[in-house]
Amino acid sequence: MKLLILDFLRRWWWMFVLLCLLSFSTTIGGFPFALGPAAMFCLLVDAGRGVFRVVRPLPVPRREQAQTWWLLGVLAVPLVTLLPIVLGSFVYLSVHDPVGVTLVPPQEITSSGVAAPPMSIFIPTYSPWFAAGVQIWVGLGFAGFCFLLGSCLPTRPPEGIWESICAMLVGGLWGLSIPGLTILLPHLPRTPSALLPWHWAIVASVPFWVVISYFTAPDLLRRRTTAPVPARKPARPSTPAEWRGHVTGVPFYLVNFVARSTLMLLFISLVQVLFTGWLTGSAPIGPFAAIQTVCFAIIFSALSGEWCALRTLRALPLSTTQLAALLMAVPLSNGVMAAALASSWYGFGDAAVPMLVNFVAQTVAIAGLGALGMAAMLHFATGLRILVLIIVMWISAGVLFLCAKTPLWLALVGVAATALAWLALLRGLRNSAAFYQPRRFFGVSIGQPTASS
Amino acid sequence: MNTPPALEIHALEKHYPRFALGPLDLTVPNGAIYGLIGPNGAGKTTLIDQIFGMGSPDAGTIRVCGLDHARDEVAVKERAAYVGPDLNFAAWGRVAKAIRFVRGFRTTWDDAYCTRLMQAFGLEANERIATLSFGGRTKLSLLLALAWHPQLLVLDEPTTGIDAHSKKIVFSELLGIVRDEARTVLISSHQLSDLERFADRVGVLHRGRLVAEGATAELVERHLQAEWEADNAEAFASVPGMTVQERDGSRWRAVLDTLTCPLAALASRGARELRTQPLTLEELFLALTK
Repeated sequence: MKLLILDFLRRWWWMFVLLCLLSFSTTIGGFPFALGPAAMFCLLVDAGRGVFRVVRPLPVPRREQAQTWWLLGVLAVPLVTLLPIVLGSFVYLSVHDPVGVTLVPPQEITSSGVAAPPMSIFIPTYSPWFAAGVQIWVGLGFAGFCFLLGSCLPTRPPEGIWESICAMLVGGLWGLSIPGLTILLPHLPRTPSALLPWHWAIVASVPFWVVISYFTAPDLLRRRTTAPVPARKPARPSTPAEWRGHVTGVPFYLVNFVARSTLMLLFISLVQVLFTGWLTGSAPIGPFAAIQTVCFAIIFSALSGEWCALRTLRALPLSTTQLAALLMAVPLSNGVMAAALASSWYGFGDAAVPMLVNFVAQTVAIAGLGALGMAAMLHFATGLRILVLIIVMWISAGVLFLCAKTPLWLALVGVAATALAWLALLRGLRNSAAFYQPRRFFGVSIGQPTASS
Repeated sequence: MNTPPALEIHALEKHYPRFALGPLDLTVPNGAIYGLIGPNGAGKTTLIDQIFGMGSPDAGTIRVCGLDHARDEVAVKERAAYVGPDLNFAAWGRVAKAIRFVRGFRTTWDDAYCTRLMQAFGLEANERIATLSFGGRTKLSLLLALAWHPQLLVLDEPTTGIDAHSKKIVFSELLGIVRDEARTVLISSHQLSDLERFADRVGVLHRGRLVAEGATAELVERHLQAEWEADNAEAFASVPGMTVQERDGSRWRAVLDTLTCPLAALASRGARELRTQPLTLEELFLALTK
């Protein structure tokens, strides 16, 4: 068990360093933050790479293997981030009054035009040790919940309507888990007096999620190390009618990939709006939710290069320019969808200009940054591209936040990012071997046992 | 009219930090099955990737049916099909959807032939691609490449993971398209016994260089394994066309390319008790790539 844990930490040390930096910096900024499910994400990436299957025949009992994955998936992040949160709290207390800190209310942010960190708008007063305790405790519970979800994720394409519904539900919840946590954490109490009934409910449910996740660990191991059962074959032979259709070739690609990506973005935004609306009542949602939607669009755009089976596309009779344009279609559609949501639903942008101006500027920026993310990720075939994705997302969120009030700058950044992405794509399609190497982590077969892939 | 060869590679070079391909010259004539063999990491996939624009060569030219692979990339891909182990159609979900996607790009798509291949390979239109076995996915890639009758079919490890029945079908289809339709096949494979039976020509790639090339039967015939006794070791230190396999004191064992190193040349250097025996393609491959 010790060797497995050390091996995991050796391979994912940079993720833990990033998480520690994140927790420390947010804590000294007045917001302790424990991203509990992050380790489960790493575990599922490992599962996609076949690590579970490699470890399975090693002389470590099955029970111990399951316990190891549970320890890593549930306890690792809360434990590792405990230290930076404690240190950050000390730093915070050394420069702030420990009780009764009143932060800038939302209306003052709007009127003065000076933007405070988006999360701080939800913090009226602050008791650092209490807040840190709540965040770590809830982070632990959320990690347990995500471990449970991760265990239930389908390991093969669903057959039949019920399996499809279950797979969609579990997959949707899994997709929302990390963003859900980032929506939830700012709404947790900062002082004991701010505790509400639903806070109590969440805090009380933590042991349940942790314990139940422990009992699902063997199932996670079993599901991730068993080859999928082949689909049932129909009795009748196939006929050309089954693959003929009016929509084929490039339009078929666009319908498949663009529609899929857009629908996912729409679904996640809808859940986000409903969830945030439920938590905050009729209060304005603020820039945080809009930036989160933008981040989703950037992620989907960046990952579209992983999903599109580039090697297959390259062998088709398309020129390099045509192929680059085809690849850019997904970031563009994501940009349109995210900008429409951000500018209209969330009212994100410059209130002094027409909504259409905000929409256009945001579309260009989100599409450009998403395309840049895709081009950057395609240049790496190793695990480094997870880091690339994180960096691109941070930069994009920062750019959108800082330039939201100046649509012209936003548009200019977008144009520059689009041009850069275009050049990088053309360069990569022609010269980069990494573009065409197999992509194991985020591919369409993520989570499938590698023996079958 | 003089028809250009199906594939013509001239002075091709591609450099990576730890590997260099070429300089390499290779010509695949029309209407032939050309087998490209080489150990792992010899550069077979790198060479094939260059044909389809997956990376651009540092030097040299590639012409497919007389067309430059970079300048006429669309025209080249309208004539050449590619099957490789890393092709992934899972993004399209089901077999029928992958077919529907690819047939949109191929004006010469043959539905009747596609149906026949599906039956032969045991594929069903409604099957999920992600649940297909590795061999099943290879069969799908082969089907998508064969069903539009390409002029040049480039196959990178097409028989890996598929069963003996399917392998037989694959080679029978390949022979069919070469004999009946005068099309060309470039096949990179480790199945040397299959290539010895089916390939008209073979090229042996080793460390990025083409170390032997020619008609399969002729290549095998002209190479011999020779054993002899000799006291003068210096005379055999560097003989063109001779690949030493083993030396035990005065006893030598080597593979000879009789075209450049005839047996008489050994005798003239003092070889005694000279004995020779023919080689199989596999033995030749092992000797040349040791």
